[in-house]
Amino acid sequence: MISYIAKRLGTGIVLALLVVFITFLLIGTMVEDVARTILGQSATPETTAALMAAKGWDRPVPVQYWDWLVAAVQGDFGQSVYTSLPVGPAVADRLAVTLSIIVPALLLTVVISVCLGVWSASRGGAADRIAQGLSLTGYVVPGLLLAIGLVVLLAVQLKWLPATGYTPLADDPVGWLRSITIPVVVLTIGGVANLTAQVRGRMIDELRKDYVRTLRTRGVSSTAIIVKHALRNAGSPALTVLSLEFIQMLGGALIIENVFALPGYGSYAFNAALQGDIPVILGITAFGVALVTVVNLATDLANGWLNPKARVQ
Amino acid sequence: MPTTSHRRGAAAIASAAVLSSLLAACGGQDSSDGSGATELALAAFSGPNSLDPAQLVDGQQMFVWSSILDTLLARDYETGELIPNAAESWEYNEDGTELTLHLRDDMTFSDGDPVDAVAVAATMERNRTTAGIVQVKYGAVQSITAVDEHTVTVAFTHNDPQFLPNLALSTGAIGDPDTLDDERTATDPIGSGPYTLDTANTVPGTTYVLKKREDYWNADAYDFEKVTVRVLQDPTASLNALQAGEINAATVQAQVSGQLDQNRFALQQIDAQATAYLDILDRGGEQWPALGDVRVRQAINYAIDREGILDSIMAGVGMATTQIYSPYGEVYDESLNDAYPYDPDKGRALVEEAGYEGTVFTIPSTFLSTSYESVLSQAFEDIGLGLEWEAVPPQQAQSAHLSGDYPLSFQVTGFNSPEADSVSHFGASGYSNPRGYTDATVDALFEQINSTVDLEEALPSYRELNAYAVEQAFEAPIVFTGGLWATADGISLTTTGASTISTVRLFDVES
Repeated sequence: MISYIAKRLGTGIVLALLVVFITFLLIGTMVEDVARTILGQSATPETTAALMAAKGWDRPVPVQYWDWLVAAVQGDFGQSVYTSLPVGPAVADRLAVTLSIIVPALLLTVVISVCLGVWSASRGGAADRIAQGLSLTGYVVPGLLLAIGLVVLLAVQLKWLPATGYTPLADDPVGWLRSITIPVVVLTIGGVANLTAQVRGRMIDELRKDYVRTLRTRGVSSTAIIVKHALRNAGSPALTVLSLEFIQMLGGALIIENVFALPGYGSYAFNAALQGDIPVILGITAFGVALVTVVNLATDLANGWLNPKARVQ
Repeated sequence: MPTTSHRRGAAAIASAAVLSSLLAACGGQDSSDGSGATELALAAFSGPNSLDPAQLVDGQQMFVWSSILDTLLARDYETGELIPNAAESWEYNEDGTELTLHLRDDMTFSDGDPVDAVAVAATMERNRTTAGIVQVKYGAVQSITAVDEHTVTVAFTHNDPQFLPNLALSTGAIGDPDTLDDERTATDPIGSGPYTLDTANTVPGTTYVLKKREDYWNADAYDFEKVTVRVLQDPTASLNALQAGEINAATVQAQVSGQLDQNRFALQQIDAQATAYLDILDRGGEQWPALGDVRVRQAINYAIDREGILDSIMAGVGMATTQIYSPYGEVYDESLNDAYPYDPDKGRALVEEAGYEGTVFTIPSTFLSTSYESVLSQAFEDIGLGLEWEAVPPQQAQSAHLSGDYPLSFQVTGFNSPEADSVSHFGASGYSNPRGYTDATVDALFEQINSTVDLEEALPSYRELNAYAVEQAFEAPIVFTGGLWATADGISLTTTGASTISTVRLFDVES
């Protein structure tokens, strides 16, 4: 198992290096544009060349990549070309904000989706229709609209929660909870819509299988059948959907972050891409690939725990 | 042993406790929209890229950096005139190759050190020699000398009419010479401005908290003890924050301004902050001969329904225009706006007369142009020409404009000063004129402008240049884009548009 984890992490590192190198190649073609953008409308070819030289952007791309890599291995991801702030801590701070809305949203998504999916599959009838209706509603209502609606109701009208901004957990736990509540609710509703349908479908399949019938004839309670057997078997595909949901939330966090003015990873990545902030783009790419690798690995390990047949020998 | 129901009860109590603490916290929220406010919390589209004097960006980034770093000159918000600030007076020599600045003698940095000529000269010299956005504005500067404790002279290779007005912007920011080269300068510099950065409560890129310096030489001119600048790029977030009382000043979109409670917020419209225009890049017709023909350029001006664009795209916030100079300035000529009434038939006739009907131009499609593209395409079709928009990513928009690959470009440019705006739009090295097109008349007018040190004396030349540029249709100005400021009760705007430099003095406490 340890060698499997080491191998997967090693693959992740190679993948990160490759992705960052490709990013480097793509960005390498636009350094002059970025230098001009930094200098503004008064930029001249001379001042542009001077800035490129000062930043080291006039060197060959492989040399720049190597230098970046050597520094990155030592934890130095460079500085933003616009703000001069170190990229590593900035990305980590931004990621912490985004994860602090995504992780609670995912946990709530799992709890609600499993409850709804199991209830719907085991009860059928009206329960099934209600669960499907809720799931469909989650699909149909756009997240952005929902976000704005909740802000207007809970922040602007009732003034229960803040409309914008983020309070770090360490500064003020209650303030933190208040600042993430609406974003988490919005993300959870979208996640539940996806996952409930998956859990419901898999549970219906499992509950129709022969082993369930056998367990019932032996007098095993319905609760035990669902919790100990059917849900465990239905869990693997749901887990895969959940990991995809995480990656989707990470990518789609931009919209939520913009509406709530959260200083998160999505808006940081978006602005860096717009401005062509090269060190930030590279740092975000490296952190992003690392995160996705870890999430995929965790999903595989969780799958192995749920389903012995999926375990790595 | 607790029973299940007890555990549920305990959970319910815990939930209720969390909920009540959440709601209690709501009551304790620091609202900043009360009357008589001494706190200003405003929304800005962008925080400062850097607080290093050599890397300062003007525009809304000034809200933060101009609070920390004092500038040599300032603008009067009521008249738009250049006024003394850290420099209490100034004068040029006869041919404009030497500027003498006389500094106030009562200024200090936030660490208590005096602000003197050495500090100003050191900052200027560093700006002149440090690669960055401010350096290009020092292009004509030859040397900077601290003559005595409170006098600085700046020597130029030639008269640079843009330099003086730029001293009210980033070019004139003063840094602390002892720490200028320290790492902290970019993020937490020692400055001599009216505020200091409260680093404990500032989150770079998101929220900047500024505390007033009572020892600032002009402290009485700043009404707010504390200023918070929130970076809110999304207009919906701005509106929500305003309505929720989290900020008390922000620009809002005209379309949604009706949602604001009129008893709590005052709306003030500024009609002109920038010019939206179709830039004719190949004015000499080197690569696209059609654009070298003044009839085609004029036809483009006739084809644009400026009032229609103002109403439909700008929701009426702005002004239709055929010229690029600020309507609050002295170069602007109201009568020139009659030069090109909306008349596509006349435009088509001019294109046909010139023999260029059916010509199609490729133009960069950027984040600035998207709202205007369909209406401009229609305008070109109406006069027998065509436009093909080619998508260009934001970081390449400037390069595309300057590349020589496009005959036209859509731009939105903020006002600076008559000097800077003239060079930028019509000068041989101007951003809006990347092919450096000039003719004998333009050359002669610039010669007069550049040899006249006093702006008042140069005004007739500027006005003539304006009229000539409109007649020659070097560009196709469309509208002055405006802005709608919403301020909470107790806070008012100090300008009607004469100067829109983004400093805290744009606001004051309503008396």
